[in-house]
Amino acid sequence: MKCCLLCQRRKYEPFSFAWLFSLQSESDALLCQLCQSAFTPLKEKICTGCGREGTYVNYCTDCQRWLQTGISELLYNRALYRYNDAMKKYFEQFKFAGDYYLRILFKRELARFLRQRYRQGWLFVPIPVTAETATKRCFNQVEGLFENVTLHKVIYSKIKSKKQQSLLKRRARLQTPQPFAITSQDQSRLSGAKVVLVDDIYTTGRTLYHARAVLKAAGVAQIRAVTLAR
Amino acid sequence: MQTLWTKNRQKTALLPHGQYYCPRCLNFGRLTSLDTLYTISEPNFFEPPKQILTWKGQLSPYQQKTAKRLLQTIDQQETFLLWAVTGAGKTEILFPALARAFAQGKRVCLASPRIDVCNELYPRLMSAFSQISLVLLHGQQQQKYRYTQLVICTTHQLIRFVAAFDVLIVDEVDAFPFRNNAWLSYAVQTARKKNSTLLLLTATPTKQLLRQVHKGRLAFGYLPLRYHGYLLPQPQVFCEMAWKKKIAKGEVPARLKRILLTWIKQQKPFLVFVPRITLLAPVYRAICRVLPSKIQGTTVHASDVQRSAKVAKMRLGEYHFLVTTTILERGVTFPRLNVVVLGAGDEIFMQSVLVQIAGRVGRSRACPTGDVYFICTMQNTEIKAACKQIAFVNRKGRRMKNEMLSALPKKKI
Repeated sequence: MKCCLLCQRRKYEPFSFAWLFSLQSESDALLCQLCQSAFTPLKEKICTGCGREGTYVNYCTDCQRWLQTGISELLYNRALYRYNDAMKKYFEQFKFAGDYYLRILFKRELARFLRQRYRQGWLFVPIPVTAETATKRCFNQVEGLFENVTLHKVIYSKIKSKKQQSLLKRRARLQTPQPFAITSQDQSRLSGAKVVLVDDIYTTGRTLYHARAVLKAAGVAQIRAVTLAR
Repeated sequence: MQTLWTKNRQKTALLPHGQYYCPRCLNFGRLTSLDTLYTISEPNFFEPPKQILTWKGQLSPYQQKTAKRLLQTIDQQETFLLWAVTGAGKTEILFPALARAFAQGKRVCLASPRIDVCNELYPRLMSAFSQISLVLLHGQQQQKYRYTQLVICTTHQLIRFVAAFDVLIVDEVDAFPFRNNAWLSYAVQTARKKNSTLLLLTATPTKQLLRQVHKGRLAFGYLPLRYHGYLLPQPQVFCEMAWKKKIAKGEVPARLKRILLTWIKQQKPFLVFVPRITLLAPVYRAICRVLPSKIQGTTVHASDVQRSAKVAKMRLGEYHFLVTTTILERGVTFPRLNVVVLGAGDEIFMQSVLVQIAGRVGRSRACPTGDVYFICTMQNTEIKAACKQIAFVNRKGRRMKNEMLSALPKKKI
């Protein structure tokens, strides 16, 4: 592909003699260097509880608050990228404008990450969307992003519609009631299982901890989380 | 009804429930293969006002000749390509033709691929045709659509219209993103009525357009002289093998230095075009080092937040020079300007871009000439083609001038 998927401008890749003799195919990068550099990967120096960037003695203040609410164990979330302006724009185009094709930007990387970190015996469970979103958007963005791994859709959304999360303030978001339930036929499969929750963005952690609560009630032993952005 | 998604992108536009969406017009709101589009037929009841053209200006004899030809295209409802050099006064030439169309109660659209051009056209047409209802449409403005006789819009907006216009004028047909864009050409074809005039305006026609002209499929007209009757400045090309290395070292190539110093002596403002955003800062630093310290300048690129402010300051004379990418290639006018293109051999400096850049020079009546220099590692086909095209247009212009001048005394007798 000649053009960058986000800015539609032609990609200019440095051409060298070393590459000519390396017998490697042309790089299959989807983005130009400028667009790619706008996304900041989160590697080291993160909070081990939620994947937020920065150095923390124990956990970040958010995670400590979650511990105070009486949760036995944190989700130990890992996010691949920081939620910055470029990521915000990406989600606007992908989720809200509905360009489903943009899922291919990150799906390979997410699948590789999941396979490396959670090798065997883990079930990957996506966060569902409400029925209203499903009919409007015609896709679940989480299932699109994690297309390359086998997903077990055991959670469903029991409310019909909800307000867009990004429009709510932090406190309002934390007070949202439990929106999820477990499909009845999967109840038995879950007891004693190990589950990785996957989602697109971790902001306050409210959604993921709601999902965690229903899974815990179904008897899941260990629950972790992986998101694209934090 | 239209199905907008293209066959070859079906795979990439597939939704999980088996339907497709249109990736092209996503920014207008997503359409899927389940959606149906309807159009309302055109009422086209426009009462021509008493005074249509409220413009008080005068066309030069060269412009009048072309304007007359355009009146004919309005009457004959044909497709016409007008090749008018940069700074020929294209908008003014359109006025008589537009007035004719309005007098006939036709619906007219003026489309351009660039938002800047639309924004500039809007007030000019509003004052020239103050009795005619008009609306400006593009992605970055708040005006709501209403049914008007004149529509000024970007070429993308044309996709919203089906068989709507009796006269459709597309300005700058060679500019990005209209150039080689099948989707936008489709939008133009569907937006015009079956019997209608399509007028294509350009200063640098593409090969494809010229080929159509040669095959006789496209009516065609030249305007090789600028509005003040002068020719385009002929660019001078210099080969400077190691300019990139010198810039990286913080030095200015000797020839460029000589050029800049003479311009400073003449106290003329100038633009330095570079091919990449990454080159802006080093070139700027190197130039600042050789120029006297009181000379002010800055850098400009497409995603620069202060772009318009910087351009405005340049126009006021606060800046003496700008180092810029191709963003200032068209649509800007600075008086007494000189231009140099550093690295003119780069692939983004296509023929049309180079001709447009040369067209920035000598646009004012007070100073109709100036210098254009292309500095490159070696000449390539694009540079040669650009110089050739300018020479060709100038030859035509000279002939036209001679014809007009020889025609004058005969009339007196």
